[in-house]
Amino acid sequence: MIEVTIQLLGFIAAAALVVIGIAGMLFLDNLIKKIIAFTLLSDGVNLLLVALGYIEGGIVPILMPGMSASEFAARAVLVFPVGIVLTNIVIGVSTTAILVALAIMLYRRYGTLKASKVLKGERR
Amino acid sequence: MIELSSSFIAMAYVMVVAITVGAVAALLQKDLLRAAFISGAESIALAFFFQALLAPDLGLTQAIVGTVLLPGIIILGIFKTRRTEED
Repeated sequence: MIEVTIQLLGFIAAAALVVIGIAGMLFLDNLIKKIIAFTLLSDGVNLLLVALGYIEGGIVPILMPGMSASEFAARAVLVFPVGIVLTNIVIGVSTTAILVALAIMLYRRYGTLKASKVLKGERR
Repeated sequence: MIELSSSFIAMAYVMVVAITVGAVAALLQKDLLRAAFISGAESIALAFFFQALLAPDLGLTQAIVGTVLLPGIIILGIFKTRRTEED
């Protein structure tokens, strides 16, 4: 029996988010729904990266007074994935903004938000 | 040094369920405005999960960005286009 840790729960949630996001982007027809599914996929990837850096029984990577550097290095959670994910969250917002702007322009040109109708290319 | 991971695992169990249910429920809505709000709720559950994974700075960023900024941008797009999903 596998011992359930927070890291394992993080992997499970990340896998669920990635599967739901990819399925939503593939099978949903509405463009706004596709964008929401894209944000869910991005959340899943972020959660996977943070869960990879987790150390069981670790501490928050803040150097408190009275803590030696070697003890901090041995116990602190990895800082590098946190830095990557912090960048990735901000990049995700700007990517979503561009996608929403493109969806608005497609709606103005084709008069619909359905991807199947947009792909047929009938101008309104 | 406070051992927090033993109390965080209960929160992690709840948040796994909240994230999964919220993600599915957001994609099943016919009303796009409601879908945007539910994706914001899923995002705040993810922020709590980041807190349980001992990354509180990510929790704060995700709470602000995922709850205010992302649904705000999507709601702006919905108001510029149409609210309900056409069939």
